[in-house]
Amino acid sequence: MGFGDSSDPVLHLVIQLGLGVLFTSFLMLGLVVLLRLRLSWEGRRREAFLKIWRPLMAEFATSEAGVPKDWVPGKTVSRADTMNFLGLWLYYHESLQGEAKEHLNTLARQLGMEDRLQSMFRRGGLRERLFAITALGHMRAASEWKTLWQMTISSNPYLSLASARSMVLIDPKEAMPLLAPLIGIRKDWPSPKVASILMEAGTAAISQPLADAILSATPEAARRLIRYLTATRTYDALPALRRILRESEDPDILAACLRSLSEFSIPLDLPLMREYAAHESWFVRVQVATGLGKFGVREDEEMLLRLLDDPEWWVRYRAAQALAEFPGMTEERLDEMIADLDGSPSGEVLVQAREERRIRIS
Amino acid sequence: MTLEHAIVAAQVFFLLYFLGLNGMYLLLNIMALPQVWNTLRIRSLDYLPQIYAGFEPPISILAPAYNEEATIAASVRSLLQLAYPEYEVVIINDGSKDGTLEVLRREFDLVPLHETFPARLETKEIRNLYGSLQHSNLRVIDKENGGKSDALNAGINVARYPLFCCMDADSILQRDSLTRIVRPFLEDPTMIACGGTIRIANGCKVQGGFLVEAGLPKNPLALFQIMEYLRAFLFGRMGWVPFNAVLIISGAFGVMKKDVVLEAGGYRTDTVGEDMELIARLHRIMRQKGVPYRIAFVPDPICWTEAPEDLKTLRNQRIRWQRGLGEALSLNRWLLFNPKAGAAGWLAYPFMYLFELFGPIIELCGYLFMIFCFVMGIGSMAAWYAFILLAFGFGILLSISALLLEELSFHLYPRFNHLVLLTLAAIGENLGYRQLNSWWRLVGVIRWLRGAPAQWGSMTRRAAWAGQMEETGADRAEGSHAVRLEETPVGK
Repeated sequence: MGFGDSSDPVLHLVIQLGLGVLFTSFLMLGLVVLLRLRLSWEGRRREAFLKIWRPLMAEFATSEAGVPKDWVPGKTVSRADTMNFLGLWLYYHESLQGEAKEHLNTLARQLGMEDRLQSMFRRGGLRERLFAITALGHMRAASEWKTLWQMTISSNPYLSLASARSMVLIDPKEAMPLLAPLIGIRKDWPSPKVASILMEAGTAAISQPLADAILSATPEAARRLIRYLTATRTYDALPALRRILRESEDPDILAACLRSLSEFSIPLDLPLMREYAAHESWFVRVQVATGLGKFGVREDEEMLLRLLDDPEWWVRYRAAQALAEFPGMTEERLDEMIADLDGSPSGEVLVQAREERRIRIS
Repeated sequence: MTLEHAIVAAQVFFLLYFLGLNGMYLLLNIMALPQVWNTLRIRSLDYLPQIYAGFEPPISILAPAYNEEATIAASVRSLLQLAYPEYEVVIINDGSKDGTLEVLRREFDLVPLHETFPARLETKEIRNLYGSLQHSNLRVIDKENGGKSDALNAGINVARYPLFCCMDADSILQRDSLTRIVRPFLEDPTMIACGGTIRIANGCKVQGGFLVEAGLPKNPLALFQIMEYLRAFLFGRMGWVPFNAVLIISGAFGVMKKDVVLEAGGYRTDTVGEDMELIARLHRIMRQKGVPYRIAFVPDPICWTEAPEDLKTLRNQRIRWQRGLGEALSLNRWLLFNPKAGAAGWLAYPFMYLFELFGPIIELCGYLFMIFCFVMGIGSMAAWYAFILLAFGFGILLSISALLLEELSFHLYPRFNHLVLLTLAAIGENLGYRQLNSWWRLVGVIRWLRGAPAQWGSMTRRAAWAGQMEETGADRAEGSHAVRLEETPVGK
């Protein structure tokens, strides 16, 4: 009855399937054990490698002569230890400055790493390529320039960003005009990493290319680029920012430019900033409130008091914060303002700013 | 149809169901593998010194607290030590009956704050808002009890930043948890929510409020839950990421865009599955509007939570989860097979209904049916063996595959005795634990269908880690098999 009859072919199939499932489980378990053994072996190998090379590389990098006392010419790193070497080498490269980096590059060349890196760059897996691209950048491998540039437009954001960074490491002045438009377009490049790369490029290399890219970019890309320009604290960017502010009508771009001007806090820009205090977009007005709080003068107190009546809470709040932090502002003066505003929403937000100020001061 | 035909049909049905259920889970595990593998490859340079460039988006951490006087101070201290450039911590004291608020006031020098930010979500009455004289980025809301959802909504109302992180007050994070979970938002501007992987803290060692040594508990229930979390919560969810069909982000740790959640109306307060319901609703609303969006998951172990170690607490938790699942699915059933719903509506939703929600009913009926056949002499021993082989064999296969994925990825439990314990748990959980869970989930479904009043119950929390703030690295926690977590080795 049912398919429980032991001669039933379906039943046989089910039993075989069940046995197959169990067998697969055992196979998988065996694989887990093998992986664990391999991990353990790799870990021991890595520890043994690092035990020798960590002090050696540190001495090589930091020694004035650049070569350790017991350095044996012809010392090699086996292929199996390439990634172990690169891991340590990159860590030191990213941690040290100046001549130490050149010593590390010398070491890598003496060990024939450049050929291996080029091979990894072209044929390696994702991890190998990321390591290789980063290392080639540190080694200033100009021969890879064209391939790196092609990689920056790859659909893989990690490879493309790593390639962009390496181009900057090799030659920031040549790299930035090429990369600036890309920076605006590539939404998949995490902004903290882009900002780090720009900092590495240095203000001399980035300001003009970024400014040029902003002027020819779409509004969305321009907003991104303006933020980066500001983050790099390059005063060369100010003329471009002022020009964009005068020429653009896009509220997001205006807000980004005003925010940038706030960061620079040049008194010369105050009249320009004040022009936008009554802009129809609240996120433009909020930047004015923030900016006046950062580098406004006594005369701007009136303007900030007017902004306390803004229909948008964030504008009121930033204006209140700006007043509370104004140079020379005292508790008594704040109390007077609050009393004058007599329980209105403007007064309420100023009370909040005053209490927050007390907490900060305490 | 004769009785014989009916029995054959039933046997085939249950067989196909078991095959379908376990086949889908296996497929999800397979889908998860390239995601996890790729993530690890991409992160291979993360061990290098990182510079904060000031572009990381600021985050508001929202942590509801109810009767947490024993652990709240330690929890808040650890939250204030996260390695992230700009964030605020908002603790919502949800009408605690114990001394939670007093502890906070004492330990963090709280003073009343005047708040004028217009609240967009309705909540129970806010009694007071406090700021800390010690930490300018800490605020505490004291409110009438309204449940976790209500507390989170109150937190969203006062959150200052564009992203908020919902978490449980007793969740244990790692210093770089925020850095890791915010990554998807930096890489994809359409990201609206991202979940973090929750791991079991039982048996682990905590120092200064942070997890420093992964370990395994001795308690078998907790061990089974570790396997369960690996199988269902880690790889099971990662499998949905490529389809943009992640339907659950745990309330224990997740980050969302505040404006999107506000537009959606915040958390519902009439469901116990508020975390899943919100994510399902976000899918629904974004699909209805036709707005491009993504909801993702990071596989990194970045949040640790205490799992129940007694049957009563575990039972209550599982009943509540199942009930919450039913509520979340039914409230957003627009997604089911809707032409606009994409993979969320055509793959994830049917899967949730068929295998997660009603699965326990079918599973238990299958067991009972086979037992009935066996007892009544319908069918042979061979049929019985076949059923057992499939039911338990597939379960073991899934658990072992999760173990394999863990070995390929994070291998948080590096000792061989860990492997032995986890293997025993992978096998053991199929010999009663899963069946018990199915029974509890069935109770949850019945309660959902009957619309019985929802109850959170209470969990007996040991929170042994809260007393380990001052231990040194050389100490070992008793009753566990703890191993120090290593920093990512250079070059690994």
